[in-house]
Amino acid sequence: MLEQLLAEIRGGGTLEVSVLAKRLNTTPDLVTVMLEHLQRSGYLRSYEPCDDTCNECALKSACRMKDLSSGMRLWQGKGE
Amino acid sequence: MTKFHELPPLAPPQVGSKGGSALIALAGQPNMGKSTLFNLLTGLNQHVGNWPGKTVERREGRFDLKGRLVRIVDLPGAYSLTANSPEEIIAREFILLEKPDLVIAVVSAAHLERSLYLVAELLALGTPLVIGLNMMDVAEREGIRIEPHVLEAALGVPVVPMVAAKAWGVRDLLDVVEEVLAGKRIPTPRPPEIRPDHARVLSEIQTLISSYLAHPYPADWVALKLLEGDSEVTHMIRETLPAEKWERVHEILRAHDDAFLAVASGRYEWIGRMVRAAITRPRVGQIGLTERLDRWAAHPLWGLLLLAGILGLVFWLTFTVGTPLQDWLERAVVGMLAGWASEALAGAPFWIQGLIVDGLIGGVGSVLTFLPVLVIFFAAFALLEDVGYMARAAYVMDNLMHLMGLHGKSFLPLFLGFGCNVPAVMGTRVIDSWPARLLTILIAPLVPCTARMAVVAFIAPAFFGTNAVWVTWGLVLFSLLALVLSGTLLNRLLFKGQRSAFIMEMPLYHLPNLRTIGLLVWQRSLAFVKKAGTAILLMAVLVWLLSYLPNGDLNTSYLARFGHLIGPLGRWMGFDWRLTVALLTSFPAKENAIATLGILFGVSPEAGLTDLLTAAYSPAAALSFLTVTMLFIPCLATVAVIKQEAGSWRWVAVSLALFLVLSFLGGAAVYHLARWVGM
Repeated sequence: MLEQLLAEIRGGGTLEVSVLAKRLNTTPDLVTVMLEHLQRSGYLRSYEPCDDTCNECALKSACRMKDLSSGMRLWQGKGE
Repeated sequence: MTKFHELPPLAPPQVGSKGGSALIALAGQPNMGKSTLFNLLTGLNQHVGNWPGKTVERREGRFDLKGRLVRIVDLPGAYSLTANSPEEIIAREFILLEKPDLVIAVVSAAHLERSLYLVAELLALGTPLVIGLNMMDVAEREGIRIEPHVLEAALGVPVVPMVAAKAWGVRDLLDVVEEVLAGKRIPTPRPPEIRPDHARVLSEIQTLISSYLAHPYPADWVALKLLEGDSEVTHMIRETLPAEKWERVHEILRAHDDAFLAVASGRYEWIGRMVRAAITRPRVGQIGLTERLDRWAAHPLWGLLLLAGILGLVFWLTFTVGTPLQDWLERAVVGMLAGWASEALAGAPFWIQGLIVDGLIGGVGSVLTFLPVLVIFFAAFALLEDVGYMARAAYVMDNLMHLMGLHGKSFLPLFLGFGCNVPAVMGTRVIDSWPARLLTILIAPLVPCTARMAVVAFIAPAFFGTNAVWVTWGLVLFSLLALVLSGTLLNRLLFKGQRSAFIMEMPLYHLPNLRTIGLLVWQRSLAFVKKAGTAILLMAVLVWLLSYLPNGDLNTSYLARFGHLIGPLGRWMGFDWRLTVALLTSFPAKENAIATLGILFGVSPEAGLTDLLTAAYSPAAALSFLTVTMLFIPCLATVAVIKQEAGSWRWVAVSLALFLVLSFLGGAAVYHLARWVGM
């Protein structure tokens, strides 16, 4: 199942957890757990819309990035 | 295909072997209620310290279980028993070295998928195990129905439903623990089995290492961890085996470097089967609603159409509610104020009267009439953000971008562009790949920002009446189309068509919080008013001075001379010199276009700026002006940020050239097409 998930990710494009769950015939919760596992194992990295790179930004207080991504979790394949 | 395999029944634990007391370990992932249960069982009889040589907290306590003294150790929260973190190493070393009489695995009934991976590893260790199925109340609230006896049968170990926070089910758990400790109940764990294609390899490694292993490491467990690529176990075996044996093991591991995925896959398939067997999730409540709505909102085609519809609805609301208010402000406030100021300053020098009436009231006042329109924009987008729709909009847009070959990580910065292009360009810092970042920097200004939308909202209703909604909608789609086409073209040149993956987990839909929305609208409106009082005010004064000097006559002013000089360029797009100058003065801030028109046309109680504009220009010229406004070079602040982020004037030049060409071609095409259809 994890291999199938990685194959989907390697196919590229924007993927959504519930869509992946349907393709893998499982629950969105299990897909999220597998994504976290792949992240811990170094296959994926989580994407923080407001990370350290934003700390120096003069417009940080006015930036809506954090609000826009509120409640969302994002991952990206390593090396991309 | 992974199958269950049954381990032989475990021998009853040797109670009393730990100095007259039974030793129990509490295991579980973080935030599963493990510590709550520990506190409940031990009360004040607990000791907190650190694990030897680690900074991880160790908690140990004692309690009496039906006359038996039990020593209980709260293991650090761990996701698995692989050496990914100090917590995981401590947990497994404790179970392997200290050999507790029993392990209680605390799992969350509301997040069973999350908890079962660790259970799969605990089952494989062969230690007597009891599952505390915690947070049953949370699961019930979320509409999740669990059948503990089905889960128990599938796992082969006792499963006790409980709510540790309310001490519910804890007595039942202790009864089961007592039964297992006393040997009245013997668990028969059913862990997941490794896939057949790797079972042979596992057995081969097990044979190679078994005679060299020191107690207490089980050979099958060590072999499995080697296949999983566990760094600690690999190091231990490399140090333990003779060189030639290690070489052979290493060779096998190298040939099966995908084994980690196979082992973990087997566990996840097993978890999937456990969950399917023991859980039913009726499609009700927030999760069910989200799933139903997302069938449309997150669909690649319907989602885009819905987004287009929602944008249309926002524009309709803006023009239905905001435009009449803007008209009223223009006539009743700005017009009256201009009339009153003219009268009050009748005796003052002409230049003071001109500066205040035409420059400040006509310029800045016209811009401030945008406020009702902007408040509606801000409120609509804040509402969409707050209910969780924006994540779907980003997802369907990103899908479209991927189809066109754009980079997945670009969508958040681009989405920010709807508010302001400056943070959109700054937001590209989160993109690691330089070509992807550069591409996003270059195309971000094509996202119509609020300032551009305000100019559209001012002009479109005056020229197009009830069709203003469609015109605005078309202009936004036109801008986004230009973005996608430019992105595709630049992607071909910079990226060579590379595709990357981006995975999103979207939030659940929820009811909006009016306080949050109100706060957002207030902050953004305040920022706009501040901008009108600073950058726009300064530019309005400058434009007025240029329109006044050298002799107080607009038609022979420096501004008019400059306008006539560049006028031929504007004529291709249907502009006279005033529209061309208004467009150029929008460089410091987009709203300045309206401020400049207000200065050039003047305002009075009898006729507002919109009346004067409709009398002076054809709808074709207005449509062309709006098209050019959408595609024209971004504001000064955005250009400065492009220089800062791209790190070179060369890319600024590329960016400016791109927008000049796009806006000129777009404006000319729209003007001539509009004239051709008789506008």
